[in-house]
Amino acid sequence: MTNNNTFDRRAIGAGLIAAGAFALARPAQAAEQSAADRAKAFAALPDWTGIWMGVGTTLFEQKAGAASLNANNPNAREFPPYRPDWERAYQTFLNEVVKQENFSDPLSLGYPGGMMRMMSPARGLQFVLRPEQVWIIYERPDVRYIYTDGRPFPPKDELWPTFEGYSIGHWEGDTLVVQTVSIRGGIPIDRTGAALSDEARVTERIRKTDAKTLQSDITIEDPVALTGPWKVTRRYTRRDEQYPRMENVSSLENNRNPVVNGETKVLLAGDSDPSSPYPDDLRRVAVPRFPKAK
Amino acid sequence: MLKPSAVALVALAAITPAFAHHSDAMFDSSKEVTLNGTVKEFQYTNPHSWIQLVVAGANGAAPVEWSIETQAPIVLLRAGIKPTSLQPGDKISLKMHPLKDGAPGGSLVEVKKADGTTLTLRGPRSY
Repeated sequence: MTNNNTFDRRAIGAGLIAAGAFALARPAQAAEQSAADRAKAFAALPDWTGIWMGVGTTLFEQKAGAASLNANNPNAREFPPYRPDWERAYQTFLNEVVKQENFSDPLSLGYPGGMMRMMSPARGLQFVLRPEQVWIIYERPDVRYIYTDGRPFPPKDELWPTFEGYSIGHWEGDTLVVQTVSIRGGIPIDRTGAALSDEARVTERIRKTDAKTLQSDITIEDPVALTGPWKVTRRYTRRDEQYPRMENVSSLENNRNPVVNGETKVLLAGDSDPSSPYPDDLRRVAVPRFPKAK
Repeated sequence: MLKPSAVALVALAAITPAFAHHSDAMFDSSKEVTLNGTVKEFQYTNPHSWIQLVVAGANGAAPVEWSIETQAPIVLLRAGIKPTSLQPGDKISLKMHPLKDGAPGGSLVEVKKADGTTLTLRGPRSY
């Protein structure tokens, strides 16, 4: 495999070693694999079946002392080792917006949560483990793709910042080690407005610590925003319940809390029409006027 | 060390108010008001569900339609509240935190149906 990558050769090396262990699972060879080989490659993966819910509050960092707060609380904050200029900007936002209870969540206005917030869910997620990829499916339209086929990161000139970034991973025993780069900066990771820069690099080590617990040890490095690594541990608990993943498309359906001049409003009876998910002007050009069901 | 199930329960209870996607500043959380009325519509929708409740006016005044905000379907269903749990025409008694500006709207606390059933996000199943 040629390697033009300039990111982190150590990580790529680890990926390649892992890929060696799972060489049978490489996509290029998939069509040639026997059923027995495919069964073997799948059988080597751990069992993460189930719907997993984040343990703890909606704050990303489950810091001692802050554990009773969730990210909606005006007194809540994260504790990244911010550089002084980032800390000042964060504190200004906390004081001027969050403490005034004026934070409006972009996630709820239809924008993707993005990394790291994707891994700090208050809702269910599912892990689909395949030899060549891991998919993390959320109760939103988002799916996160982690390539475990041994590929390196694309060359730098083929990467641009995106909400979820670009993730490659490999297995160390039953631990999934994921590295993510090219995450779009300035996306709030929670409702306190904490964010990272485009230069953030995230390493996650995810493993099952008992039948009902997945643990992710997360290290965030960001030479622009942080003075050193930000280490956070998140846990997810398996819910054994009758309901599978459910759709949660946020404001695209029936948003009766528009933000007007920085204030969240409530649309009262007669001010809203939940019969279509589209606003009036879009509905006129997107959907015919079908008769209503009787 | 707590057993994992106990940890989960504590954690889930701790995030109860976390699902409102916006500030709740427009609701007066220090007040609980009870409304008695008739369900006009139960909007089982994202990002929040809404109960449209028609409340008779006092002393012959015109009835008023209240808009009561509650959680997203994924939260309601896991708490046992289904799209069919409230039907148009149902007579209910409902507790809510009212809008601060006095408009006919609020944030749901719980519903008591005529048959005595309570729909609530409180309690051990809430999260």
